[in-house]
Amino acid sequence: MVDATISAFIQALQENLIAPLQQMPVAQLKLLDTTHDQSVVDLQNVMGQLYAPPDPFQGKASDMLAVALEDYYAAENRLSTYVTDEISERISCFIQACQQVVSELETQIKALQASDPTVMAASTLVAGETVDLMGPDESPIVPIAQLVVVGLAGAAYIVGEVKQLAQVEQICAIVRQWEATMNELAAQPEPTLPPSLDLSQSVVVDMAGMNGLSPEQQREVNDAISRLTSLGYSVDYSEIEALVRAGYQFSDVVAAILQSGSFAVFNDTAVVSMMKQLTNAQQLKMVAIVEAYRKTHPDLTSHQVYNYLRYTQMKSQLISLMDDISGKNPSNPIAQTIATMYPANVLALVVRLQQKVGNNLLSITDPFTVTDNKLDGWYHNLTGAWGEWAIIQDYYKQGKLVNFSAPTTGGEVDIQISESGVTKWVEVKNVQNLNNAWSKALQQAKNLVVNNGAKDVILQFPQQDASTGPSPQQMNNLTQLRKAYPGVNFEIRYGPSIPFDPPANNWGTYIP
Amino acid sequence: MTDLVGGYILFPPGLKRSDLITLTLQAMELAPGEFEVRLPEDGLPRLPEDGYPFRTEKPVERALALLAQEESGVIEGKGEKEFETYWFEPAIALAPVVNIWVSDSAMFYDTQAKRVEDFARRWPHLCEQGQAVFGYFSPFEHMFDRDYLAQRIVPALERGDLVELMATDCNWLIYLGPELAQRWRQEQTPFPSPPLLSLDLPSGAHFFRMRTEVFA
Repeated sequence: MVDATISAFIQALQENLIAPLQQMPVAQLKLLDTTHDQSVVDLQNVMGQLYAPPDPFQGKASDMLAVALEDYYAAENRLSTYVTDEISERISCFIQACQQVVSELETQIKALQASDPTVMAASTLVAGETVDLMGPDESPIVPIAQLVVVGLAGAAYIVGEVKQLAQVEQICAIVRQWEATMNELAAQPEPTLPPSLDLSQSVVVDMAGMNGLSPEQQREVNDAISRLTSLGYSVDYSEIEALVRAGYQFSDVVAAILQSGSFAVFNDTAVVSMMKQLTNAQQLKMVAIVEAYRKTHPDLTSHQVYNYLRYTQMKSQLISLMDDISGKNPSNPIAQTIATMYPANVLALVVRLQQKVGNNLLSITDPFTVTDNKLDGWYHNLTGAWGEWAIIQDYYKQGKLVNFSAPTTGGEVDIQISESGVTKWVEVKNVQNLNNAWSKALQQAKNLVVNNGAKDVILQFPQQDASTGPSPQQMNNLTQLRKAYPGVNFEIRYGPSIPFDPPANNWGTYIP
Repeated sequence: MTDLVGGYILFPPGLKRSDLITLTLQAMELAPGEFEVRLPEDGLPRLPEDGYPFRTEKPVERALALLAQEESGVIEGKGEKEFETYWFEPAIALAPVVNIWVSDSAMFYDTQAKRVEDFARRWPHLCEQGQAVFGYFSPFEHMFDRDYLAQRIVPALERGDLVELMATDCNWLIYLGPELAQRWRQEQTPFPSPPLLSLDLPSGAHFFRMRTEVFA
């Protein structure tokens, strides 16, 4: 129970309600509110440009972002209710109510103080004689005004005259009105916020629509970013994207390439085409080899890396082919039989392959230094030998094989077969383009006739057919040959269908 | 597995075809009876990519005279020289050229050492006597295709790219005419491994034999 005079009542009002409200930082509140409002306006302008012509943001990611923005603007509008570019309705209402209550209370207090000072001084709050200033159903719950309200609610006045009672009641009514306004503002429900975005998913969709990467590629990009950032490396998104777009399929390989600073040498179409044939572990091994080599050879080029890979593949092809010809391939029983039946021929073929390709290729110690000329030359000889070997096996399967890789006067015959009791000499050219092989094939055909008395010569082109075979000029040349040797049968034979390249299964195992 | 080894020799623009034929026969020691001339019919084939010439003419003097007039044609070795073919192709960038083919089976050192050594002795004579600008002999067929000559050798000659021209890791024999040799002496173009033979020739030219065998 409080024992106080009217003067104390006025003083309590001033100290607990009027003074704090007068000290309220209205200017700062307005500044904060204006700043918030301007931020929203800025966001709208920036996003508006993103969707503006001539090159508006389009696609799935665009749609997703537009929906998210729309949700945000709606929530923001419900929260701030900006009618103009001034302060929001909610803040405006709050400031106005507070300023108004201060103004009204000051007026009422002046009127109260203008009452008879003796009566006022004599008026005391005495226990037991109470005037409840709160309504029967009202409860004093507003926190800011609690002191005052509680004071008012718990107070009892001895009022000297009716006029004073009316003034006190007026003051209490003003306070209750302000209290109700504050309650109303506080009780306004918060606007429903848009659902939280799953940012990882939104990035995937976003970039898939924006940069043409598939979801798998985008995941790979994201994985590579995670790997690099977790290792403390700064991430160049464009380089990661370039590598993934080029065809690298393993994020750890992409991360390793960037981590080793080897982007330039691996971001090369030819290199990628070879790297894609390797397993994940083999690719990582290759990246490590390049990284180590670059420490002493900082000018290493992508072409050198390509040649290293090409060399490694060719080494694998050579060893596989030599094993196959030698009958050492357990999955090729035909070759094993031929090796048993024609040991001298097999040896001759293997020795020639060794001399023309193997000796040099297998002696290489630094594949980064192998030149195009060497690789092209080895490849020509390797594919030639492979084609010949494939045709030898084919004729063996047909039961026609008589001889192969046999020395002749002026050279060597690729294959001799017997068809319907006729011995035929076969010259094989496993080439993709006949241009540079044609004259050599025909010269060889002529040599077989002139130097060895061949009467039936077959020019066999496994990579060609009737539509891709000799040109009219080349056929004319064949006519010239037939005219020069009218007693000889010269035949063009296409197929059988064989790969141009010798098999190179899992050649990455040859990466040291 | 019949392949060829070979290479081009490029001669000075003023060298007549008839002189080149005579020089070739002399330097490569192709005596009468050791060669045959093959001529095109109606001008074809003009280049190896069109085909191989089969027409023969008698006597050999007439055949040689016709060869001097034709745009292209070949001299084929016989007997000891039966593995050798000399293509007289159309000039390239004004330079008369000879494209030499040799059957690789004649050039394996394990069985044909004498023949290999004999060829390595005769080949620089042809270059030197013809005062060649540049010549090379390679174990790889693609390096003496006409398009390789046009796309790699001639541009390298024009820009004086000795590294590209010499291809020292591949070529078995290399002849640098006096002008190129002088530049080589100044530049000292590096080799992947020391050449087996490196000779200054009287004309100021330089001859390299990179290794014993044609194939490395």
